[in-house]
Amino acid sequence: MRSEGRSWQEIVGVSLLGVLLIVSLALLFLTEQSYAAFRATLQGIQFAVQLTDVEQVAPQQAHLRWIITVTIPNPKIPASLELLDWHLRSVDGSMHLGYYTTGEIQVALASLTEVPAEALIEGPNFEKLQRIQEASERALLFQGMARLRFRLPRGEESKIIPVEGIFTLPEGEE
Amino acid sequence: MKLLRWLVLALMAGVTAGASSALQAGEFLKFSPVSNNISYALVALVGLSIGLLVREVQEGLIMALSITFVGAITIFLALYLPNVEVVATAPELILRSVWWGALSTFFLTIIGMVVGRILSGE
Repeated sequence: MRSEGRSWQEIVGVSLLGVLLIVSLALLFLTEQSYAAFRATLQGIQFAVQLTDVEQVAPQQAHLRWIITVTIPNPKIPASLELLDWHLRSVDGSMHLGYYTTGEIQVALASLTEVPAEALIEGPNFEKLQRIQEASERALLFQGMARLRFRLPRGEESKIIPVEGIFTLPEGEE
Repeated sequence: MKLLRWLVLALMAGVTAGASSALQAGEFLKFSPVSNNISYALVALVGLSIGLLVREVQEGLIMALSITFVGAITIFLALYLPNVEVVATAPELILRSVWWGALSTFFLTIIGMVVGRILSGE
């Protein structure tokens, strides 16, 4: 009777341990895969800033539009992007042309996503823009912050990533 | 033969407990398909299965320590391998998770073993 009891316990104990081993390793494998995909996305994400339009809308006002292209190689985790705010500076950093924001626009990310951004430059910032347009090097620096939200199996992870790009202004009208 | 059985059991149970415990480590918490309560339950179930297999209290305690040791190595590897470049500069980022994982593995294994002994009627 005693040995029958022991053999019953042996069978249940070893079987349970075997099942648990398979289940826990499978869960760990899935977790590691999801984690690796997240890390790869973070490391592989690339931003490109391109000026698409410069329009003088009033004597002291210009409207600038950009397209920020976000590239994610082989995206596996659903994610969205929110462009928080950005600054415009001259490339040498001597002139600051203001601080801008898009509000709360969230864009779902695919392998290639284009996010529009625009700014109305006026007053003293417009004068600085004109000075840069008239200079030999008409380059401007776009410095911004993007918040990336990843939808993970158990919750959401958000990361703030710097976005930077240099673009050349069209020649100013004399 | 007895030693081999003991080693195989310690290895199987340690890897299982470590893998389950790693699921609720801070780094993996949001990436795990199961909640941390389920991962704790899996560790306790490992203790329960070992509780059905060991015969004496001393044997159970040595087994719990061995499971904790193998489990800690498993947690370390599970966290270290996908974070090699981060851990190289800041090892403390995962060592805390390994320490807490090992501690919870030890106590949950003991609790599971006690339940296993009670269920087996000994």
